[in-house]
Amino acid sequence: MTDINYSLTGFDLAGGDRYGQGGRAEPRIRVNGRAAGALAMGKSRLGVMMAAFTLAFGAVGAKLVDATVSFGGPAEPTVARAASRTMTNSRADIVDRNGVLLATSLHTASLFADPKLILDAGEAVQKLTNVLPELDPQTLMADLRSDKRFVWIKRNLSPRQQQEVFRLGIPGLNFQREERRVYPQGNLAAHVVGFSGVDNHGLMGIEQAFDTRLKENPEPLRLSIDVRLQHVLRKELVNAVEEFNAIGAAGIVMDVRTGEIMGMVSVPDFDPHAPPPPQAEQDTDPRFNRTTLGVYEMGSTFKIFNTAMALESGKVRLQDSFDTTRPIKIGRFLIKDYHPVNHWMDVADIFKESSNIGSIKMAEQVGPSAQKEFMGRLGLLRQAGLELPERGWPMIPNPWREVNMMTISFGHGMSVSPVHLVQAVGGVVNGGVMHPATLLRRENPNEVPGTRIISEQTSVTMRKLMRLVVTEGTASKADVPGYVVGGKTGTSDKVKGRGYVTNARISSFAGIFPANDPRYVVYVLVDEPKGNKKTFGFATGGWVGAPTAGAIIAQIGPLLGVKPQDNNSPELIQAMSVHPGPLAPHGAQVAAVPASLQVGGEED
Amino acid sequence: MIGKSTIVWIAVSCAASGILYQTSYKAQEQEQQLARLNRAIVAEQEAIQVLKAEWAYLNDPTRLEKLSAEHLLLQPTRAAQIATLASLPDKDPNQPAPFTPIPGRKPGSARPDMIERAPAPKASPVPPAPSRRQPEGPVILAKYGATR
Repeated sequence: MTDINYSLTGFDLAGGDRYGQGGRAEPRIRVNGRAAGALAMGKSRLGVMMAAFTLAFGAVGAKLVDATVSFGGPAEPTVARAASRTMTNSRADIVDRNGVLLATSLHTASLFADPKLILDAGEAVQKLTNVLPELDPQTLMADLRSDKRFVWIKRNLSPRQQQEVFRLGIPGLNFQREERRVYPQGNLAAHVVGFSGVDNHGLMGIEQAFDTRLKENPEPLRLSIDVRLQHVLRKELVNAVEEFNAIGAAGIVMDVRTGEIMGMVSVPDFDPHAPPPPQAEQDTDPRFNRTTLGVYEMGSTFKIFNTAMALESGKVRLQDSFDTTRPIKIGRFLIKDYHPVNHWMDVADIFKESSNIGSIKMAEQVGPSAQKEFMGRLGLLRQAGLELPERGWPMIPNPWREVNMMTISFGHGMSVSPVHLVQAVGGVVNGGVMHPATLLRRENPNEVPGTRIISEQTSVTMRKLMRLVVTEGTASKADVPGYVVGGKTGTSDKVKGRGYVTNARISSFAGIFPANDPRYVVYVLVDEPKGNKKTFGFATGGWVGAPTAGAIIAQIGPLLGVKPQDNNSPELIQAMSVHPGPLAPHGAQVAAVPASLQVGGEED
Repeated sequence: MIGKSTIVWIAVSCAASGILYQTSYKAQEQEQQLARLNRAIVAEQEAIQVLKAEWAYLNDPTRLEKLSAEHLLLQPTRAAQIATLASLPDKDPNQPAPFTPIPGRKPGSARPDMIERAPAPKASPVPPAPSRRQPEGPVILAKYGATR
């Protein structure tokens, strides 16, 4: 029997002791004395070391498996990286209804200096003023010689200027990355969009009204205005201001079916990149928004509401006639007509000739309390619900007496802003349903909030009356071939201080088109126009507001995709006539009209 | 003497640490590349934003109108220029059908002259109105930059 045995480690620890024994089972390893203790200690140390290494490598292995095989730990670093992948803008863009950029934020560099590090202030000033000629050498020198550690030299440099400053190589200059609000359309929508300050706080217009929204939601804010309409409006208003030597003008285009304001311009305007300081005198302040903040006595355009109110009350019918031959005395004022006539007039004539006396007589049938209630229904007694901070409160009489009722019937003694008037006119012609004016694009055109203010029947009558004013009345200059324009002119003396000022008036025109199925209200107001040779010295709504509105409609009609109609087609004339006569005399003519001209009434 | 299994374990751990070292450096390098790319993306986005602003600025209707008046003969559309299909006059039966090329015809299959067209009337009773005739040669009526 070979008794050779190896220990675990392969060392024959007890080799020397293996020799023949006489059948007695002896332990194979026999160590005596000190060697036995050392062996036991070595064994135990080995065990401890093995355990320690197993533990350590096990931990490393476990960690390795955790790091490579198992994903989805909460400490995944991808989130932070994804965030840095997109540009961070502190303010969202503002775009028009077609997505054209109205306001955006651009990253720019601002130049600052640490005066302690500037070696030669004189040289630095000379070099800097060469590159940036708009800097003032004296203040710059004072800044660079000061004891401060930080002075702004110029904020929001263009990339080219930044490169040029880099090239100067002046020590102590540095750039700070900043964001700057840019308005690519400049003056075009200055009053609507407003502007924001250096610290990206909205200070006017939509920028102020939607300050938090623009900071929190990076999606562009889509407005209801259209840059093209804005341009047409502004161009024609500027023309009117120049032609009639006026101090200002305002214009609004509104979609009557949704209440969306598609164009809104106040002249004079300003550059939103360098807004002028506000002025005390609102008449000359370019920042003053005449369309929403300005409240004016609107004059005869209020007869739209007066007539609608009288017809809606049922106390006045379209055929009723009133004695308009004698002036009416209210207090110390004598109310006369601009074009006095010597016969009784019916409602259509009163509206067409813009008779103040007739309007008072009609209002008297309804009474002051009903008139106040009606004006409230039209939203003329409270602030307009537009999304702008600059909104004027209407100036209304309190108490609302008989006298006030008489003056309000022809648009005096009560002041509203143009946007009030446009919203109410839109409601009157839109089948009697008024939609609140908005500057935001309606996301869902089928769900537009609206209130019924008059019956559909009265609305249809009002459209006809407004068309009559253009075809036979005071607003003939507003007519545009192809676009059946209706409307009402208005002229009023301006109130300054406690009384009326002669020769300072507001001439306006509230137009609708196409009158047989109104889609848009076009409103033009010219502030203090002066008559000229071309208008024979007149500066009334018919001579100032109406032609401007006509020029605007002629240009925006094709842009808005309104289908042109033949203004002279017998069907249209028949449909728009206030007193539809018997068809017989027209019948023969209608039959003779070729089919090609029958476009009237085909509205989409 | 070192056992075989020990050698195997040492080799395995060396290889593992080597791979770990390499992987870690690779990961670091890729992380840097990712950061570089992200920076480039942000720079591109900013550039796009600047270009968008410039596009909007250059498309300012006031400027476009001025340029169009200087360089083009176009004028604002008038209502009279817009017609509906229904308002077009009926076709004159005496007019010969205008030649329209047939799309998809292989070259050489038939000459355009040989394509059947509506037979022209033997003798047109109405001579073409002289005012309808096109003037000879191109006539330029408008001046660029003309006031309107």
